[in-house]
Amino acid sequence: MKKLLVSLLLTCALVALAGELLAQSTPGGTVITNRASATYSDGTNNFTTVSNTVTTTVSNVAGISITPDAGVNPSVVSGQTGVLFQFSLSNSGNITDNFLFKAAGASVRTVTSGTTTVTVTRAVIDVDGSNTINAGDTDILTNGADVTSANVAQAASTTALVEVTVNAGATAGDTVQVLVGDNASQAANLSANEVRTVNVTPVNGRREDIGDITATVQEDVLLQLTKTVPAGPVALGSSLAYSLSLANNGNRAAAGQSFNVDGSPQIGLLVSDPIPVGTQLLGAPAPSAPAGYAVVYTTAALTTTPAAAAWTSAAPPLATVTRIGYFSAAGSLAALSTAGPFTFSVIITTTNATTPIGNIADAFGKNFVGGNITDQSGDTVANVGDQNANFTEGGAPGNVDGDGIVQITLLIQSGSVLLGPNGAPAAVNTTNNNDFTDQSSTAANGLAPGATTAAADTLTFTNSLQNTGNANDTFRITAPTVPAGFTVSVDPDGGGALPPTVVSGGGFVDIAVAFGVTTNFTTSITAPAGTTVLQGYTTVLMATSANSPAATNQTRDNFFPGFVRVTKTYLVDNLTGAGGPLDPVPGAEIRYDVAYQNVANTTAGVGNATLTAVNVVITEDGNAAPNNWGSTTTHIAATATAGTVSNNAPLNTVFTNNVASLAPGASGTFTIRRTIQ
Amino acid sequence: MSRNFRERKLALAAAMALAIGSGRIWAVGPDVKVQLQGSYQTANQPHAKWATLQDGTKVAPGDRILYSVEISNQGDRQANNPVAFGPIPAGTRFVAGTATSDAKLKVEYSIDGGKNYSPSPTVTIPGKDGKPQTVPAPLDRYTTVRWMWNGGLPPGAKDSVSYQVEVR
Repeated sequence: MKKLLVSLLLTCALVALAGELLAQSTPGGTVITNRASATYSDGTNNFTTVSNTVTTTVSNVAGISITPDAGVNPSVVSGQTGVLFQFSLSNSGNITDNFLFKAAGASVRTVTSGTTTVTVTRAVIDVDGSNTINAGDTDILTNGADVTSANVAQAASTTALVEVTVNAGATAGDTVQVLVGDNASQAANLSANEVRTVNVTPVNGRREDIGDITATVQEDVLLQLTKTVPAGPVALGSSLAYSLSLANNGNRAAAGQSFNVDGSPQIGLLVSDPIPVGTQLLGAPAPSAPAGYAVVYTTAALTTTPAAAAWTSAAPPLATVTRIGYFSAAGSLAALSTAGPFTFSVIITTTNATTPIGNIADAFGKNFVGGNITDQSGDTVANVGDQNANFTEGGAPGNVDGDGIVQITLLIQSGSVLLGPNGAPAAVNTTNNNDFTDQSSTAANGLAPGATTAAADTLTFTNSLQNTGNANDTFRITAPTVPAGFTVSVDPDGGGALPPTVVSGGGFVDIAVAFGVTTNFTTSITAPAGTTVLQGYTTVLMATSANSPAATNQTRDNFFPGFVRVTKTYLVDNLTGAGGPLDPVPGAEIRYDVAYQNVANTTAGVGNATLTAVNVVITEDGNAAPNNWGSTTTHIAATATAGTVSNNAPLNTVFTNNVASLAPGASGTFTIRRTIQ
Repeated sequence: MSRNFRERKLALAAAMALAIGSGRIWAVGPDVKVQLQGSYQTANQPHAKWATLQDGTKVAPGDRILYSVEISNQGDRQANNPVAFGPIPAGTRFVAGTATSDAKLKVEYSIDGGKNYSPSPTVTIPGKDGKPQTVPAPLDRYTTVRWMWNGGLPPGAKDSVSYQVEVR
């Protein structure tokens, strides 16, 4: 076991030294001399004897070793310039030699994967050994003819430098490989891309080798701004607390852009968040920023980009603040790190809950290759944004227009409605659910009280519908009460493009009404033939809010087939002594009473559309058939309880009672007194 | 001049006087001769037959040289405690395990030009923990191989040993 261990250790030592063997090759021409010896004794004396001498000479051997093989360079990013790949070319032979590079950069090649492309910008023999490309270095990229290096002593080396630009469009995970030479260590075969030794005298001729270095493409800065937004719904007037965080998911640190802060240009990362429309920044709780970031403000309109806006670290009057920002002066955001939270609160100032509170913010920085980058919140795509979050970016999930997504906080929408007569949606009778519109047709013309109409008759009412809720709403118009036999239809736009819809019998019409708006619609009510005249027929209309189905309001459209009822009676007063006291004997007095009344509804409140009869003229003509009292009686008096009586003269047989206005419920009596001839 | 060399010169002088006195040249006592022969094998043909090194033969780094050391006692008495020394020439490196070894021989190596010998030379180097650590000496350090015969070498007897080196 001990022997084995010793043997193993010896082997290990050999292996460890193997890499040095070539570097320590015995120089060509060296004479290796050996002479053995021996000692012995004759029992008394010791003797020493030596052998003959054996000599041999070491041949000249060429060798080149290009390293690294399968070397790995630090990762690169798309667009990166000046990426150096450094190769060591060692003389592994045992004589001084030179190395040859093919014309026109043929000895330098690149291999890329995926979408990545590169451009070799410079390639040199690093003559001054500076590991940088300098003016005195030997060009091996644009060399018109083959290039030979200066002498490279045995075991010495020289350096080749290849400078590469990673073109835009490189994808993370792709690789960039740079090769110098084209064959692993072997006798030079004079191939197109080789790097070889020059001396032709060595026993192994000329030699070539290859080295290669690979760099992996990594993501440059990947800014992803995330904003945490209350989903809602919340009530108007509520406070909203926001929190943002800025992640760099890339493999390079993000640097800053230039912004105007406190009156001077400053370089730094910026998170910019416009104060949501319909809200105002709150001073308490105070906006907060993580270490390294300062809260800044701007009052510039959102038409001015954050990059052009003037920012201040002192808070302006809060009502004037258009954006809040978080600025990291001279700061950077390390690869694969997150900064935050950035917090602030607002109070909802809008009174219209129709539109949710929109939220979107910008982040600004620079990537490793110096390009300005930006990201907008609301999506999970890094480095996309329009550099000016102003709520025009769209709110659709999965938005791929290159912008972020406007996140929303829903507002509690509370419906409320008023339905009433034309122009008076808030009309009140005894309640605001029984306000009314009285309207009369002419169907009763010439018909006595109690008579019925001969044909159907239609009246069109105009009703006003007011949205008194806190948001746009849609109201469903129904007719819970319809007189028997009547037909009711509602035209949402009163004769416009929208067709009327029958709502009697359970139908409905939905009418959209914007926040705070009053709109009119028309209601056509058709009374059937046979309707008894001179009385009201009530249709109850009801509006129900879609936002709040419990929010309703009613009004009444009252259909009157005539509304002034006239009733005539007579009385005989016989004071002649002939016959009974009520007998119409000559000389007795006969009295005609014409009673008239406006049978429409009176109002207990305001805003109702009532029916008032105007220019009412009651005519009593004693000679108009079937009347004949003009020729059979003589005049005593003509009087009226309302209005005026005209032609009140003894010989007249035609009298009129003129009533300028007969209000709902009002009545009067026109009396003619005569003596029977 | 070393003491051993002086004694050897005296012994030779005595032997020569005896030979001259008898009318013949004859060694009186043991007389050990050493013969060195070299052969080589190129690095890229490790299984080829060994070729004898001759004047003008060239070797290349990586080639192996096989040195054969033959000792013979041409005297008339046994040579006691015979020891043969095979140097590792400059420009070469001893090849581990190639020194002839058998029961009648004791093989040792020197890493200091022959001052000290050991069957397994060691060196002391700093260990990973910073403390000195004794490890087998690298073959690069080997300078000499020596063979010590257990018994004497009778008159007329000869024996040979060999070892290999690799051209650096």
